[in-house]
Amino acid sequence: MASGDKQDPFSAATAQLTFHNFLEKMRHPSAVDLVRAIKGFIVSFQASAPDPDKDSAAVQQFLAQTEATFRAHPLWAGATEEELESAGEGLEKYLLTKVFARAFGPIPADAATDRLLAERMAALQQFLRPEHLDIPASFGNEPSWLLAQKELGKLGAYKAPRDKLVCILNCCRVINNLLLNMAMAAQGDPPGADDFLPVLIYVVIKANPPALHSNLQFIQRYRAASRLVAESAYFFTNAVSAAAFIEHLNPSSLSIDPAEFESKMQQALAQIPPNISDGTPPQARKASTPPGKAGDLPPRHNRSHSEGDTSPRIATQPGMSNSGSSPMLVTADAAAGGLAARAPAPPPSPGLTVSPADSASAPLTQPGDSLAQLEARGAAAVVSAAESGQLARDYRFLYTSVGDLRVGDVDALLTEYKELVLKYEALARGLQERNAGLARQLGVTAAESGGPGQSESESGAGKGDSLKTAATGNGPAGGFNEGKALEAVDGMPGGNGTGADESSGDKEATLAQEGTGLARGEVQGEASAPQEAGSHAGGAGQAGSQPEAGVAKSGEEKSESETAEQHNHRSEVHRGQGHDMDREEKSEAQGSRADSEPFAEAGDGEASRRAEIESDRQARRKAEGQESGGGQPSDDMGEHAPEAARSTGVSAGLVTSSDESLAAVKGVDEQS
Amino acid sequence: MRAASPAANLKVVLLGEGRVGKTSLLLRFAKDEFSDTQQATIQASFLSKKVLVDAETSVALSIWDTAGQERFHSLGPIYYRDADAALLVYDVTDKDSFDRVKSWVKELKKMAGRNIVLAIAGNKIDLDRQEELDLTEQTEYAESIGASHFTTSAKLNKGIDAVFQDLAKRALVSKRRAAAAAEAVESTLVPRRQGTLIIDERPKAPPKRSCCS
Repeated sequence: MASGDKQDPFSAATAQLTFHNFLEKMRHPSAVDLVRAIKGFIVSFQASAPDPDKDSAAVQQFLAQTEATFRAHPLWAGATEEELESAGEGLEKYLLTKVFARAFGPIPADAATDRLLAERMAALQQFLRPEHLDIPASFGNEPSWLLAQKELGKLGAYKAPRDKLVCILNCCRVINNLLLNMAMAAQGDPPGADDFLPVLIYVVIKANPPALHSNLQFIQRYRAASRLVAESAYFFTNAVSAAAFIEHLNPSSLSIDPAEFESKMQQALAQIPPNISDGTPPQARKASTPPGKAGDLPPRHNRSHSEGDTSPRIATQPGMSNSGSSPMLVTADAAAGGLAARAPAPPPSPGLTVSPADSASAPLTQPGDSLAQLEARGAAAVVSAAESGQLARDYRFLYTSVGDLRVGDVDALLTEYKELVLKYEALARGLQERNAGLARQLGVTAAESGGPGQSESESGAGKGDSLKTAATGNGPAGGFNEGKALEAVDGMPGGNGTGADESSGDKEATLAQEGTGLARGEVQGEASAPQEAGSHAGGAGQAGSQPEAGVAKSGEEKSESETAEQHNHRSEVHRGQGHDMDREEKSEAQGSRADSEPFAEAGDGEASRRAEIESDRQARRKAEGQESGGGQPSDDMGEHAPEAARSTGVSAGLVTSSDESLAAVKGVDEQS
Repeated sequence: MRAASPAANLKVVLLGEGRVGKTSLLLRFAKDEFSDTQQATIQASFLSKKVLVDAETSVALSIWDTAGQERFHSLGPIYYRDADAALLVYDVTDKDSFDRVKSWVKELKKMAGRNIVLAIAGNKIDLDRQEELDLTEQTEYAESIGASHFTTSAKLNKGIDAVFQDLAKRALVSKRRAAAAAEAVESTLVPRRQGTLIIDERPKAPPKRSCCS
């Protein structure tokens, strides 16, 4: 058997370099016919009507065929099996990333199954216990299973079939390792399927990954058949079978009294808001439901009421399907949606309209609560959100390792970062002011009336005022608050870990906490990626905790050329590569729709890690790139950044200095 | 690196009730050759092992363990859909476990491709004193469905290699026969597909894709 069989199916170590190599090859002049064929396929695929079986067959055939072509191509003359293998992987990743929007969950039936599964899992997870699946108590190490759940939670964060598959395999590996440890402790045999499958099912239910069925179908259909073999195929099949078990689950499937099951199930279902069942990704929903329905809400709002979902989210939809970023990475998308909605007419200070509602709907904070106290309270919520996988879904970069970052992610990352910093600062300061104000008020009242004016201190007016101060004082953060505040309004108790029914103050403290608290949560000894994410988050947290780091740096970034220049300037490591690939491609295939875009777009992604390794070459290329394409704002960052700048800077002139934040991003890179 | 004729890769599903000793059987088979590879220690639910069918032919067996609990019975087809062979394990001291084997066979015959090769293993012969062991019913049943029947002991390492050897041999024959038949059918019925294959080799003009698949 060839080396393929010997490979650890769980290993993802070389994936990034692999993809980079593939893109590198594609940029070689002699690859022009290959590039043309690949792009041709993409165009014709995008143009055809969705038909899962046909689509799958077409892609599988194209992959096999193109790989055969690689084999005979001069570019791979003398290449080892490994190199050809990685070229095949690269091709698959590139192709499916490009056609993702069209290929993922294209039929209503899949979306319906997604919803059914999501609903069942949401209900089951409220009362299901390991013993219902006869999982021995000795395995009942539920906290450890969280790690496995977390792996599954990332399923929606990737587009390439292989990457999705790796999430599943990682989940299985975590389970296997835990079972093995327990077996060894008990001096028993290593876990067999009898031990493994029930735990996997339990973990899947607890994780309730979004669009589970569609994700499995996507892997089945588009993972190159030649690579969905052996151990990978085995564990993938287990995941499929776990989903099937859940789909067809009835009282007799569990060790539970049927009557008890029915009543608990009813009870649990009743507690799920109507749109919980909507676990489908935007594409699937777009295809299957008319806009404006509850089904249009991004997955992160699964557990929230729909009435608060106004334009920003709907506005998100088009952006989602067109943007190169992952479709299920909802936070960024929602943020982008928010930006888009605000961009045309920057709100005078949206915080004003939102905060009173907030303060009316929920008791904000106790006057005496310090920021630290709030943080501590929020931390608990964050931990539970992290455990439920919610955070992984909501914050696309939270568990991202440096190697997984694409250059194209930088602007989204930066936007999120700025958003976070501003939000944190706004809230921290707002709270401080409010506390100070309340204290003063209390003092005055006390002085005037000789008694503590508790009713005043709790009054809505008082809160509204201090919030107003916060909002006007930190205009942009108020703007950002809008989206979050809506969420807070939407939030269901106990549902959306971060939002829920907490007051916005709590919530933001929660968010702020992420920078540090989550990093802590991550260090439980998981595989490499989350640890990196830990340092990542830690880095962000540090930056955020320096009061002046992100906020109050003035500097007008509105001029596009200036922005572009800055981008060039900062391209040393992060952009250099993607940038000039981008440009090259843009000139070659212009008028490109976002989704039939050039190699660069998917490619720029993997550049960062490689970039460090080959910084020399990078530097050269960067220099070339700058020479040839100076201030041309051709990369998508050039388009997004001004928007971000506008929305962050408009009302109060607070613009995050890109140098600062870049330094933060860089710092993160260097840390890992 | 590869043998003249590439080693066939055969998928074997392992079916059997919870306590019949499937896992030990698999582990014993695994350990036999790879006494200290890391793979065998990570889990005992999937195993890939090369088996010599005869002097010059080896096949790689991918052995898929399945959960034997009754509640997972209906998931069977997901696992054995494209299996080349199935090994059904029962406990010679447990009549019920043999009844489960029968119900799996029924389903396998119904669901899996006709080409699937079956073997039945009566495990735990170490637990039964030889003179009390009467497996006439079981062997006759196996014969009636075209399966081979073995007695095994994971504990004593008896009969295990023989089971997999037998499965590998027969599955390989079956697979080759099926492949030959498919080829014959294809060459007469669907010349179009073959045409595609030939064009594949030309790097210059790769066909976009066949319109009909």
